[in-house]
Amino acid sequence: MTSTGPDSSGPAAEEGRQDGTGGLAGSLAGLLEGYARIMSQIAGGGPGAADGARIGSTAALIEAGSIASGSALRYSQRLTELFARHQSALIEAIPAHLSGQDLPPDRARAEVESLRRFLREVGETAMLEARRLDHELAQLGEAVAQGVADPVSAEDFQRRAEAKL
Amino acid sequence: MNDTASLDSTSASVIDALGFSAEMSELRERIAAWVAGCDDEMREALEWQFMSGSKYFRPLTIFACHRAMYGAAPIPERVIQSALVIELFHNVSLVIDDIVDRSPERRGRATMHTKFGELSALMTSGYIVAEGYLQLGDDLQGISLFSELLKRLGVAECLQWRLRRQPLGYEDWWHIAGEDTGSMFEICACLGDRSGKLRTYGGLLGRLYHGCDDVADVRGLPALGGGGKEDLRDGILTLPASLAIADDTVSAAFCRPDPTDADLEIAKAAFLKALPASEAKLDDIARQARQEARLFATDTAALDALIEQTRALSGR
Repeated sequence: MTSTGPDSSGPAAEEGRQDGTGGLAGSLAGLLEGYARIMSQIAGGGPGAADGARIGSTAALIEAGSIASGSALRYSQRLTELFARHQSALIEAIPAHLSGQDLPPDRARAEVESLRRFLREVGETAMLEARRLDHELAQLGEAVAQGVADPVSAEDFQRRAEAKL
Repeated sequence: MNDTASLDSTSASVIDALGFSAEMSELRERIAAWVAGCDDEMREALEWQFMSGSKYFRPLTIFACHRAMYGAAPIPERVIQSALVIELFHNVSLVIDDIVDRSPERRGRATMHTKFGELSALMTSGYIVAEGYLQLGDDLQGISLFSELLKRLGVAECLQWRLRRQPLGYEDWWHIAGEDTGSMFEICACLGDRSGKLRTYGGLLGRLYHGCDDVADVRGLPALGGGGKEDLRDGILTLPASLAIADDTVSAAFCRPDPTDADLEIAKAAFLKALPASEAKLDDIARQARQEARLFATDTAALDALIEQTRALSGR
């Protein structure tokens, strides 16, 4: 699950946002994935090999590396965006706490809410990326497994023994 | 007695639209057959509970999550059995809730404890739980998921009660709704997809359901069974309450152990004022659920339909 930002800047908005550090990280992640596809073809995997088709072990290792790198970049991008979104609220809270002044109860509660929301969204971002990485690697693993499995021919399902009725 | 458990009319069109009419008929027949085969001592109470109208929204969630992951292939026996058991367990939660809340009626009909007495209602609840586990047979994954559900529901109810009349906020509501209704739909999603990939989707759908229920209660709608007045008097942290009590005056009125009529009026007015903000939060949860559905599911049509149906329950 991804973030629930206070100012209409949830995941859908994140997907479309390509500015600053986030945009750079997104571009890098895209480049890595493209590079992996090319290397995968060179190594014998063929286009879209991880999407259920067979894939060689060399191609699989290259693809796994790029998936992991892409994931790390995407995670960094999302964390950066998340921090940017909450930055003003977090910074606003610091001077009041540093000066030791007592905040009115409603403002103190609002600050605690902001901090809790930020922390929850950090956790959700990590969980989301971990689940995506797990899913992509599982798909790759399945493709590798298919690559080493003996091809199944129609004859394998042809029973020769007669049923003893 | 009818030979099948009846279906709430508002759910029938959604079930038809999603193409689960055959599975739902099968489920209703199984529930009726199960009730018919139960002990004579319990049967009348079980008929009262199960043969009245039901939304079957939880079984529908199970079927939809299965289809989202595996396409339009027939729903396997194990998944249909899970749908039966979720309906049994859901009814246990309704019976217990009604006893605890001292509710004389649910959806215009006498509650089980009102009709048959508390002892009978409590014993029947235990009977249903035992039967539910029996029905699961050797489905170890299902047993584990249902155990998780019962534990989380129990914890959530205690948590929600302990946290009443406290100056909390949206983050606390998020947690409570996630453990209460959220856990129910999380488990439905897991029972349907059998991989855990739609677990988060289920949790979001449950929060959406919980939040729409809260908002509908403030509007005085009977959509999900009512309960707004009781929530207000008990100081239950509903979605509108979690937003409204950011204001100190409202918070003081909401948190008073023995609220006066004036306190309740202050809180009520503030909750009504918080409805637009609550709707915005619900829109955000619905958006997250739609996005989550797209992460792993191969066919999101049924998942989207569940979100839309749930979102409409707030009565906006």
